Formats: sequence, structure tokens, C-alpha cells
Amino acid sequence: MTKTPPKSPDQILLEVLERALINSTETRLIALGKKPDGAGLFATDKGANKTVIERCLGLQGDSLLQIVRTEEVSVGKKTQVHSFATITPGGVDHLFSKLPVERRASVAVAALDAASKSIAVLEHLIDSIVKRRDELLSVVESLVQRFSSSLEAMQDSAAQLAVRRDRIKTQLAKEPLPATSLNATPERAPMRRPDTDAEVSFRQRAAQELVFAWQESAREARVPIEAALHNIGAEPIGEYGDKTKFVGRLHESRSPVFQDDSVEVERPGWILRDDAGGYLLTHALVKPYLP
Amino acid sequence: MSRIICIDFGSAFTKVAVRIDLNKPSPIITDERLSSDPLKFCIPTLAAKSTRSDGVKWAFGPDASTQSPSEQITVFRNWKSQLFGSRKPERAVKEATVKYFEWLREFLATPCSKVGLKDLSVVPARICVPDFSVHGRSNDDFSPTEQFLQDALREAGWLPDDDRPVVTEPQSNIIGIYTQGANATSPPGASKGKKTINFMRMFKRGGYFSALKDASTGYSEATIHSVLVLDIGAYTSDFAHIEFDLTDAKAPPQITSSSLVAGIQQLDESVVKRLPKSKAAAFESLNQNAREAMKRAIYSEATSYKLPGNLTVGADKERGLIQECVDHFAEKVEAGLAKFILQNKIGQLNEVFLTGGGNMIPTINSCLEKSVRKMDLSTSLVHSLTGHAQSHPTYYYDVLGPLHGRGSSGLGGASVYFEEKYW
Repeated sequence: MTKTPPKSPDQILLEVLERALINSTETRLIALGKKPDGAGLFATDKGANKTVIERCLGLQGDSLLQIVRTEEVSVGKKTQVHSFATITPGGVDHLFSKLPVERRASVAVAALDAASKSIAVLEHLIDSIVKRRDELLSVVESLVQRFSSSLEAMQDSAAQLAVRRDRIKTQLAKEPLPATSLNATPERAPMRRPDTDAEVSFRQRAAQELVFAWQESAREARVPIEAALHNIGAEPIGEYGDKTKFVGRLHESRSPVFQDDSVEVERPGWILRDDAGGYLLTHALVKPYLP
Repeated sequence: MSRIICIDFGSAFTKVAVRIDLNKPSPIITDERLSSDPLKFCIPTLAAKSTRSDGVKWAFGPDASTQSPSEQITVFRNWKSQLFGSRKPERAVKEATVKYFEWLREFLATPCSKVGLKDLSVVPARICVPDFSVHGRSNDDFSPTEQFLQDALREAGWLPDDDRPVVTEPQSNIIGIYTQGANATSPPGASKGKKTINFMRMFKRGGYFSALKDASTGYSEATIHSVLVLDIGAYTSDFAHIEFDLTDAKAPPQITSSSLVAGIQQLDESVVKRLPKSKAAAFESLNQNAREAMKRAIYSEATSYKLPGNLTVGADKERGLIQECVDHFAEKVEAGLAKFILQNKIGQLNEVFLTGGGNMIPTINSCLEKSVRKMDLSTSLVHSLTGHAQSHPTYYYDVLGPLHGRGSSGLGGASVYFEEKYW
């Protein structure tokens, strides 16, 4: 059996460059195992291959191959790095300068075929991507349009609600509030006066602070405070919207009014009452009213 | 005449008491319409005049309390101070005073009828004035202020008392406090042939009665019983001293008095000056109830208070600033007290009454009490408005009712004590 003589580094270099050219796309630099998908430009990175690899990657001059991607693969505790390479323009020049003349045409044709196939595949991919992009653009545009419409609709609604809120507020300030407990509070017997001056004073003080809180609260938040005031013995002076005559000891007004003028109650007052009399907690707020 | 009505014409509030009998306690007049006052006897000294096209109209007292001035509405507030001094009051002020007294008579008709006074135009009236308003008085003549007030009362349909139409506030206050409104006379005796004041019975509610008993039984060697009232009001601090002769139960007690311009309003002003502008403005805009609630918290309870707009007054560093103002005010009154004691050569002070709104502030009350203790004037009984009753090794401590805070001048002014014909 005749033993095949070992290839020279130049031979190995030309074979590697030729494979790299015909593959047209990236190729594993060093083979991994014996399966077809593990095929590489070099079977190993040892011996003569080592010198050729260094030459190809430009460690001794211009690079003939370039690493385009690496992969890290962990096997057990070890991590291996796999490199993928393509031929450089310098590599193509080197290959065609060293190939025998009679092979140059066939290698060029093979490389062209491979490149054409790759281009076709890429073009197909590009077409698909463009098509998908157009579809996606259309969907996105539709979504943007829908969101814009929704946004405008929501803005309109918010504006309408704000107008409605302001109207309601204005109306609340004018008209009796259905939620108020004042109108629904039945007549009752006055509370018994506490036995001690200290208790009388405490009741007055507690009621006074409740009235301050009631005055500071929004109308819709006043109902529970009104209940507390009722329970501590306070009674409202007037009701929202009541038409009456101005009585200075019970009413106050932000507008100029005088005793006995016609006025309308804007905010009731409060008086703390027991069977020995009443203690004014706050005047009712009124405004002039022309009958 | 046994009946008399006394008008304690204060700068902010007028209080009225009536004497219906020479041997019965004088009641202070209360009315349901005075609902801003927990005790129902403080009548706002307020008048408002409208000159709109529908004619001239007036509102007074509680009905003028919420009246704001405008182009056609004039509000008379704190106008009493304009009646003092040598200059004649302006015509408008004079008119407001007369109109106010007219209204007061009508206002009081209903509550006075409940105590048996039907027609106030025939009941002798007496008016309380500040101590310094009697300046300018020569011998038996009245000062211009005293004369003006009598004329205004007369013009308003009142009947100023012939014998004693005017009393000074510190004097009427001490009589009101010490008698608690009591009046007492003895039947006509053989020697005088007329009713005479029974001082022993009239002052029996104070420590004087015990002192007199101790002296007459030989239990005590004291020859006098001495009482001081220190009343810290809104505008002045009034000092009054009454001295009883324990060797003669029929001898009328002697009263000396003095007023110092140092009231709670001055304390308020000093505090407002030291507050940040936002809080000072909020404080100034508070209505009366809110202002009183805040003052109670920051002065009497030495704590903080929340104003509308979530502004807290009296917390952190402000606590110290407010306390400085209170301390400074207390020192001023304390100095006035020392001066009064020194000037009047008071060497014995058996009882001390600490009254008026200023004495509701524990720091002030305590400062004055300590001051009295330091003077070492044989004090055995301190009466105070605050509920911080303290026991002390050398004297008793008594808590006064709220009526003593504000109603005593009116009560004292109606006392038979001021009618020398019964002495």
C-alpha cells in the first residue's frame, strides 16, 4: 500500500482558501468532530496546520481569512471557543495567483455558482424581510392610527368631563346638595346640659373644632362631619339656598349687606344647643338676594 | 331707691348687672341672643350705620358683629377709646354712642323684665369707666369723659344715678369679685335713723368674715384685712386693693386702684410680629371664635395650633418665640404689680385674686403668684381662674368660676357699696 506523502503548507493553504472561496459564507475554522455540520477549513490546529492558520489570520503579514464570529461552548467544566471565518479579498488574490492556470476558471465558476446561490438565498430572505417589514409597517400604522383616535377621543372625554365637573361644582355651590344630611335631619329635643362647666366647655370646644374642619372640607366630604356635629348637639343655621332676611348675629356675608336685607344662604351656620341655650359656633354665610 | 342698673361699658363688650334689692345679690343680665358668648352676658360694643339710598339704618351689638364697613356702611368698633382725653369726641362717635345706648335699653327690656325691672327709663343707671378716664376731674366735678357718658345716657333715655352715676372699673371689679354681687344693709338704727350697709354680711363670702371673727374672738391679733385684685384684660391690667378695718366692723373698707396699659391685645401684637408673614396674615384674618381657640392653644396650653391652609402656629422654634413674648408680658405686669404695692405702701396682703383673660395663661398666672409669694406679705389665700389648683405650704388656693373673669365690674358697679348715703 502506497503511503500518501504529507501535504506542504502551501498546498494546505491553497486548499483551505479554495474551500473558503467556494463556501462563500462563513465556515468553521477548525473542524469539530467528524459529523458534516462540524466540518471546518482545517481538520486540526496542529502541525503544519498551525503555521498555515497563523499565515491565514495575518499573524505573519496580510490576513487571507478573517474571523467573523466566535462561539463559546461549555462541555463539563471546560469552555471551548469556536471561530468561523471567511476569505478576505487578499485571500482571493493570493488563491488565484497561486492556482495553476488550468484550474482558475473552474474554481472561479464554482465560487460564482456558490455566491449566486447564496445571493439568491439572501435576496429571497431580503424579499421576505421587506415583505414582512411592509406588513409590519402597515400593522404599526394601523395601530398608531387607532391609538391616535383613542387618544383624541380620551382627550375629548377628559375635556368634557372637566367642563361637567366645573358645572357640577358651580351647581353644588348654588343648589342644595342631595347628599347633605342637613335637610334630612329631623327635629329633636335639645340635649341636656352637661353637669359640669368643664364638660360644657369641652363640648363647645370639640364642636368648634368640628365646625372648623367642616368649613374647610369640600361639600361632598361634609356629611360625616355633619353627623358628628349632630351627635354632639349642634344644629345648622339655615339650609343651602334658603331665602331669608340678614340677621347679623346669625349671618355673615362677603358682599355688603345690612340688617334685614334679603339674602340667600350659601353655607349654613352652626349653633351648639342644649336645654340651657345655644352657643354660636359659626355664622351662616349668605349673599344678597333680590326677590 | 333700692334698684340700680350698672353698665360696664367695655371697649369690646358691654356687661350689665342690676340690683333689685338692697339685701339681695345683683344678677348679671344674660340673654339668648348673645349666643356668641358661652355665658350669654357679653354684649358686643358695636354699632353699624348704613346710609344707602333706602334711608339711614342702624345695627348694634351682636347684629353688628359680622357687619363689614363699606362705602355706605360705617362700623363703629373699639370707639370707646375716642371718648377719653381732652378733645371732644367727633360728632359721628357721639351719635353712635347715643344710638348704642338707646338700642341697649331696648335690647335689655326683655331680660330685665324677667328680674322685675319693667321700665328701664326710670331705673337709676351707673356706668363703669376705666381708671384713667377720670383724669381731668376736679373736686366733685366730673371729667369730660364722665360728663359725656352721662349726657349720652340721658339723651338715650336712661336715668343716670344722681349720687354715683360713674364708677371706675378697677373699683367696681374688686367689689364685684369680693362680694360676688351680694348686697346687705341693716335696718334703720336708733342713732342714724336710716338703712346702713352691713359690710360684715356683704363681704361674708371672702376671707374678711373669718378674719373679723378671729380678731373679735382674740384668735388673731390682726387689725386689718387686705385684699388685692389683679385683673388682666384685653387692653389694660387693673390693680385694685381693698383694706378692711378689723377693729371696726362698721367702718367702710378703703379702696385704691390703678390701671396699667398692658392687655392681652399687646401680647397678641408682639406674637404676630414674630410670626412668619403667612402665619401672621392668617392669624389676623381669623374670626373671633377661631382666634380664641388658637390663643387658648398657644398661650394657655403651650402647644401648637393648626390654622386653615395647614399652617401650624406654635410648633418647634415658634414655641420658644411665643413663650418669650408671654414671659416678657408677664414681667411687665409683674413690674406694674410691684410698683402698685410700693406706691400704695401695702404691707399686708391676706388675699389675692388673679382674674381676667390674662390670668387664664398659666405662665402669667404662675409668674404673678410667685411674685406675690416673694413679697412675703402674709398672703394666706390665692384665688385664681385657672384650674391648676395647687396646694402650697403657706396659703390656700381657690379656683374662681368663669363669671369672675368678665362679669365682676358690672356686678360690683351695681353694689350698694357705692352709695355713700348707706354708709
